[in-house]
Amino acid sequence: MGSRWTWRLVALPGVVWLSVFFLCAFYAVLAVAFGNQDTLSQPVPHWNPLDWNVGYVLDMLDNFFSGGPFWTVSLRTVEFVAIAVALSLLIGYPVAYFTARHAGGWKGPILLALILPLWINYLMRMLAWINLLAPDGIGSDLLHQVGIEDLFLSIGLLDEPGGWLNGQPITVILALLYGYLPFFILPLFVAIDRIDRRQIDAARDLGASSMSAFLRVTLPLSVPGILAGAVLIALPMFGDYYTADLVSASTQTNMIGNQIDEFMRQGSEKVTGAALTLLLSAFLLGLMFYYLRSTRRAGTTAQTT
Amino acid sequence: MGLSGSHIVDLIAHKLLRPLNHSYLPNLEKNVWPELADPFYDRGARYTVPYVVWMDGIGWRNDEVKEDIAAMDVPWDIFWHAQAYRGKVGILDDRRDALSMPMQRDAMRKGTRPDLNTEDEDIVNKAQSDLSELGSICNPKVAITDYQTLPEGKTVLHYSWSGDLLSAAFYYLPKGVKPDVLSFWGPDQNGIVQNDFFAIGRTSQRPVLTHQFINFMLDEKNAYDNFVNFTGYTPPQKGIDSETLLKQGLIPKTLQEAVVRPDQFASNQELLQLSVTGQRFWDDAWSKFKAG
Amino acid sequence: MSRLRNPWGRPRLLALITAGYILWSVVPVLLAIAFAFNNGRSRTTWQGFSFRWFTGETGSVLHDTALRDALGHTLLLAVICVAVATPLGVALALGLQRWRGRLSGTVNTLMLLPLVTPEIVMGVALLLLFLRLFGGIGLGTDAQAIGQITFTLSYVVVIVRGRLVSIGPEFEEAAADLGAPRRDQFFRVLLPLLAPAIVAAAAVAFATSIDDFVVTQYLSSDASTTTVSMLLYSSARGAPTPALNAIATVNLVITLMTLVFAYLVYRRFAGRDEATSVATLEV
Repeated sequence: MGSRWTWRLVALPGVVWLSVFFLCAFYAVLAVAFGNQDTLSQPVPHWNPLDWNVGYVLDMLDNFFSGGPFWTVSLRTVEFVAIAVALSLLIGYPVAYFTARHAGGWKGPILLALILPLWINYLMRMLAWINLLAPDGIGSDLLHQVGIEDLFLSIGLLDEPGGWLNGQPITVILALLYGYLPFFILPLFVAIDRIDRRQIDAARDLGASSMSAFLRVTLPLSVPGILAGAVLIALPMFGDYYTADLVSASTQTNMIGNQIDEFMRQGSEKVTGAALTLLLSAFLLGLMFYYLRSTRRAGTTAQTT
Repeated sequence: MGLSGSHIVDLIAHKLLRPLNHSYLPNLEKNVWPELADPFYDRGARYTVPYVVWMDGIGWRNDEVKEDIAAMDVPWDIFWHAQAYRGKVGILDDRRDALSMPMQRDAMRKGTRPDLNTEDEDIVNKAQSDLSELGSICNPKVAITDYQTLPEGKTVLHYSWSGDLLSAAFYYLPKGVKPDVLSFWGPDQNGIVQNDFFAIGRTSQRPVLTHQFINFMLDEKNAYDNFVNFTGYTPPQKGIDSETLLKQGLIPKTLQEAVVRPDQFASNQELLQLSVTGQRFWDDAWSKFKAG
Repeated sequence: MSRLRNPWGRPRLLALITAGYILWSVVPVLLAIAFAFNNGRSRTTWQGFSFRWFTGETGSVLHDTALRDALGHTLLLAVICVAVATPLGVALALGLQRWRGRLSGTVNTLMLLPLVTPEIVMGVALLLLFLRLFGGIGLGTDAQAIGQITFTLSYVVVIVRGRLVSIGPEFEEAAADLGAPRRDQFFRVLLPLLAPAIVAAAAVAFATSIDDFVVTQYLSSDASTTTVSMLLYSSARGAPTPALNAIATVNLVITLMTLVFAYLVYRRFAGRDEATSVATLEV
């Protein structure tokens, strides 16, 4: 079907674009991180790898591994993300499962309601939610009525009644949850929806109760979807800075994204910012490639059915 | 453009500013404080002309905060005793201003004069660890929105720029909130005063027009207009002081301290540019503080 | 075959959770939209219905220059993004799909990477690129556009590829059997079949561009390069007026209209299931 080179040439512009504006951009991070600073505190990248200055990167790693502030922030970020993802699973799985299995005639509208947040501006959603959390807001009232406020007050997750926006870590976690749940639920829904009902019916025919069929057939089959969804939201969460910034401006809730943002846009040490970005990327690289491999596999399975 | 003292040296050294032609700026001598017409950072006002001045101090809601901060021995201590206001305290999101605050507190306790442009790593680190204590004491927000959060009651105690309090009183009060719930205190000596100034970029296409604009802004009436109707930051004009503003009913007595006096300029300090190594100490300390 | 399900069991709880989630998800936004029509300055107390924040004399989206310029700039970037990312992406999708050879896997991974890279990493990388390597371009509108195109490209490729896969080679082969020259096979058979996906991809690129925040903020230079997202972020920390709600609503309406249009086009030409899978962004 035509020479091999035709299609490669067709793809070429796209490849060139990505190479220039994506790969080179990453190389710029490397060059700056292994570079230096001038007297105006602007970064001086060292493009030639033989010229690389490991000073700033080593400083950053030293800070990180010896329990310095970079370690504190990173640990906190991992905590926040882990809890937020766990909560996503807790809330998201039932929603995805219900929509895939029990929605019946309501499936269309429910799906629409699930898809909608994906396309609404993240900041608009977050601001709408924050507005409600203000001390005199409806959300704050509701949380008070439902008793969640008292619960959190008693276990020390909240400092004072109505003080949701006063630099509370729990608010940041809930905000992350609010922001990223839609991105978790939808792929999970698709994964559960794809599970062949015949396998479940077979289990039921063989005498399994519905709970048992769920635990032994549906759940295991949905695990790839769960993992994919978890990784899909964990990745952006690790780099999030705007959520913590909007919901609390406190230093006790700053994430690694905030630190990077501080160095890059507010501060005068872009070199360290670049080094931290490298650290973050290295940490996430594993997750990123895991996700790519798992979706590729899922893609090939879909094609064979 | 408006800049502040910490960067002026660099800009002049890198030849990014155009020298001023004083024949186009008669208002400079006529209206501006003599102390600032020939500042130490720019002798003879060759490149810059002062725009507004302000002080770093403490802003608070006197209807929420019980303590009489101005009467305290060391007013800065209030931050370290602000457990009752946890989550409603603010610190300026600016490394130089914020880290200077514990330095001032220390110096005030000891009765010494602090060097707020210090490059001594130990002093900077001590300031950072003092500031970081606030995390567990009152969990402060690090922001520059005090001009809104104070009137709205979202914060009740804030390390503030004086002009922010005036802006708050002028335009950010919600319905039913009177300006006299806002208070400000600034140190008479050993504190921070700063000014923004006008300068003309080297590549400016219309230098004469720019000069005329600057002169326009230095005219007493226009400066006053800008202050009251636009920025809330006081211009260093001879004719504008707190007594006049009080008499005109523009500011309440509680905010009298927020209008900077010429004598405060001599006894307080300006934040100046640091060397690369010195700046690095401050940067590291700040990122440590920000990491919680 | 009908499973006699206990109506008082799991489904009830699940339905409750689902309903709760949907309310939590959607209601705050509905309220925010409602307050865009508030007569007063409050964003939490209803003071009557009015269009003032949209078209009023002062402080409205129409008349306040900051708001209007932000909206304009957002749309400008979106148009540039679509104009460049769509053809680039379609070409890349076609080329990748038909690429036989070892490099295709690598290129495929390269294409997918922007989708899994956290935005701040992309923001930092692009910032440094335009500050230090392409200083000639520097920060600003061009840089913002290029940044957006770079990751929107991946969305376009994924959507078009999906359609290519479901079309399969049969149609072109049939045309070839009937003696059509290769150019005709492409332009008169493949492209028309691909059209709904191209439209959908363009719409997705548009919507993604409009709502982008981190990359756009990092590559901005001054006030003239502010977009709606950036405005929302910077104004939010203070005490904004409902004008903020208004501009967010306008933004939302534009996005939704674009997507509904694309969905309908896709459904009309390609079938409902495929349209849904695109809407749910299956990578």
